Amino acid sequence: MGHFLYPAAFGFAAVLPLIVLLYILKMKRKECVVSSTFLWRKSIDDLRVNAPFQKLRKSLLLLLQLLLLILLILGLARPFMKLRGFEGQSLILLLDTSASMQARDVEPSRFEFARAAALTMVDDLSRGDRMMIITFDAKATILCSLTTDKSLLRSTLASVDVKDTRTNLREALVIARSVAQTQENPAIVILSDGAFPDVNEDAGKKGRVHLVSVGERSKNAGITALEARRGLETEEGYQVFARVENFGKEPVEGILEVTLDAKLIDARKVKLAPGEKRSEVFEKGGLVEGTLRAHLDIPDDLAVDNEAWCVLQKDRETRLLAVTEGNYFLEKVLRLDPNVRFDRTSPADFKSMAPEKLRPYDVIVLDGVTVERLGEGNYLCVNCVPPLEGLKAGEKVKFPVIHDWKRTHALTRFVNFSNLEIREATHIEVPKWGEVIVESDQTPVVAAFAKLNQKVLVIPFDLYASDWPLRLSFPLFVSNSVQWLSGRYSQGAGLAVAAGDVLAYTPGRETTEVTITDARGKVVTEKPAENRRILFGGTDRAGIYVVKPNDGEPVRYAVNLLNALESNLAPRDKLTLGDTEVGVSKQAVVSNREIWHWLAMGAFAVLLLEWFVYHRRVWV
Amino acid sequence: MPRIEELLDSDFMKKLEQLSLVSRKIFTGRMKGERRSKKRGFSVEFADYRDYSHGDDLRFIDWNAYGRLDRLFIKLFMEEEDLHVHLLLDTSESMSFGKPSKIEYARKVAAALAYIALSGLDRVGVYGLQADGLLRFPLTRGKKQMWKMFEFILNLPCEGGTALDVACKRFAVQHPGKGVLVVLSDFLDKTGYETALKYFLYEKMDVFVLQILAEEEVNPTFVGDLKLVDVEDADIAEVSITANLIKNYQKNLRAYCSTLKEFCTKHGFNYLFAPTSVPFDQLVLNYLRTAGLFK
Repeated sequence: MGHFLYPAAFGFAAVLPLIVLLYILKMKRKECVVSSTFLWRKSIDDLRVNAPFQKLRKSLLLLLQLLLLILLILGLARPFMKLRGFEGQSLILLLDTSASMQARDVEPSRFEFARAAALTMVDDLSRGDRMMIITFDAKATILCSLTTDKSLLRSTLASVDVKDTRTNLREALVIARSVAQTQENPAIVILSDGAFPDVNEDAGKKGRVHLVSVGERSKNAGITALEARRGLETEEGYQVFARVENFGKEPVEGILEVTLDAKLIDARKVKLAPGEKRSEVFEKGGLVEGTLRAHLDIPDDLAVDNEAWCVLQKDRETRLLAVTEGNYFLEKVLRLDPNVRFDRTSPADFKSMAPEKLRPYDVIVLDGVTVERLGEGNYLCVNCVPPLEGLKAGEKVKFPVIHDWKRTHALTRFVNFSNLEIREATHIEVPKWGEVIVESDQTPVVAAFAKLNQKVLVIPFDLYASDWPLRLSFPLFVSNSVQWLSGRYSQGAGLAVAAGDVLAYTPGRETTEVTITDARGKVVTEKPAENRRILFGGTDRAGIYVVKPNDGEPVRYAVNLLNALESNLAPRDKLTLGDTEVGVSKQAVVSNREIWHWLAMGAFAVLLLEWFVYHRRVWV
Repeated sequence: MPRIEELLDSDFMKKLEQLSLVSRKIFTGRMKGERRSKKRGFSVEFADYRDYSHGDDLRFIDWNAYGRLDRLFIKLFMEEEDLHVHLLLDTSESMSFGKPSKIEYARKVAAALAYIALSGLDRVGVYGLQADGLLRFPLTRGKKQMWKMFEFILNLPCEGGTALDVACKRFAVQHPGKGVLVVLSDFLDKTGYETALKYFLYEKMDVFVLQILAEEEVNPTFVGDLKLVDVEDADIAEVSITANLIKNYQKNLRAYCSTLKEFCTKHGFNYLFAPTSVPFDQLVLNYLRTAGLFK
């Protein structure tokens, strides 16, 4: 109390003495003529003797009137109370659960602080107010739709856990806005430290947005990048690149150490001025295979960014069998890749080979070989049309002109098919489950087929009947093809995943089940989908995730935060959504709740009471 | 004279006709009127003789009988007794109170009584009691005078304060003798009614006291804070009406009325409480007859 939006209304208080004056001057009584007053006088005198209330009532009425007037004046002055909580009957709470919320600059942590603030907001809900809880980290999750059930809200909040991921406010805001759209009086409250990029949003959306900024200081240094590249000097082994950054206002000093499978590789002293970034490159022998862990030993508010992992993998050999009568260009190109073990056989020998003998090969190249039946394995069919379901070979066509190709496909990476001249190609008809990679005006010239346990790539023309082998696109395409067919194209790049992102794993052909052990040792079992990929979304925690197919070697994935925005703990004091600036406050928000209507109701009650007292004389 | 028609509207006249039919009876005074008295007196009609006694009026000696019998006889004639009916109306301003006003009611009752009395060949006098004296319509008989009398009743002014005693005293002095005396008043006199009524004690009259009160006085319907103004002396009483006050007022009024009644009974007057809520014809026919004003 004590806050008034319109204190000028206190000027009306001048009316108060007026009422008293009127009372002193006595009320103007209605004149009423009677035949004689003496009986009345007598009666009054009789009553006066035994009714002291008469006088009291007069002053009671006066008091009531004064009280009424005071209440009205107070109401006109529009007092408001600073109440914790928000105005709005539908409160949509966006709770930040990203990595930066783990910072311990407020006790016990930013997240716990935010949780406590959220619980207070639940407590402060007025009757009939509803609340919705959405958490947001790398993705937004609706934990609790709009409800008035405070115990549900409390238990929901109690079960929320903070994650090691980046922040994606936008998605949560889209959800909140769409909910707010349907509500009468919505308010969107973001409980966050503000470690997220600005969100562009159309203006004029419904629902006021308010940011409750958690966090006090920025005292943090962290690893913001960790990458392993193939070494330039050594044939084998990696070069590890790490970037450390100081987000604090003080210079920091500490040790950055790199271990491979718990064996110390290197430790360097790093000194970082406020805001300084520093890149360190580790290049030592022995960085070949294993789990690399970088650790920055500087005590600060946020621990999660002081650690990062990287998985170093020895390149696995791809075994390739070329079935050809002899194709100079093809062989030359296939042999280029040092990781490919190349075997060659003639079509006659191939037909007599037992299936067991074919199994070790990752890719089989059929060059102008017509087979009755495709066995297991992945095939690259050049100048031949394999017997695949729905794939029909037709007449030869002359000079097909290429007009389009799938530019986003892994097979066409860095490849340009324009100007490719083909003298003659077999017309093929690609069924729906297949995919036309390169399209000419007369026939598809490259088609890909992927089944659960088999991939086939069809190139229905003779390389010698085209100028392709002479073009730059040819080796690139063949390299892409081998990677795609062997299923290894993604592995080098895909072993590092940002926390919160989807971990994609392509298991082997025989794999029926994959167990994934996350950073905390929790084991999840997944089955490969139709397209033989496993997409695992539970990468909430940074660390090493082990994916083990039931028929093969485990693969290790490094899940890292590595996000400068999260590591930068500077609390946000400004939030702009589109072109509107959003209110930001430090503590659990205090909103001005006007209470004039309570005063008006009080005044009404006093009025009723006055009326009652006035009429009591007759009706009692 | 529009007010005559006001008072004597067709309804009223109809009721009067009814009254005259029903009340072909005589006022019951101590003296009977309109027919031959058993008493012998001096009149035109001869009744009897009696011996002369010393002091008799010599004019009534039957000299013929004296010549024949040598004795003195006095001729006795039928004495015609008139009943004197006096109607006293309180015309103080307080009588104008009420709806219908008490004076209106009193006028109707007075007119009705006058009509009955005149029909019965009694002598009727009407008097307005005023603060400073008496307005009178002197004793009159015969229905011919009826209209004049009605006009007088109607034109009685209703003003001034109440000072019953002055008017009553004057009446009593000017009208000795017997008769029926009907006093129509609200008796709401701050100076008291006792002295006034006591003047009638010394008359050999049958006194009927009609206390006329308006409905508004019997059951007040006031609400709120009021300044009650006395219609007569502009005295002001400030009251805040409560149920309690109303109750108390009614209690006081009842007490006041019963004191008046007691006073009347004690002095041989007939008291009748006549609130204006009782139709005047009903009052005249039922109540007054029960009270013995007429047969």
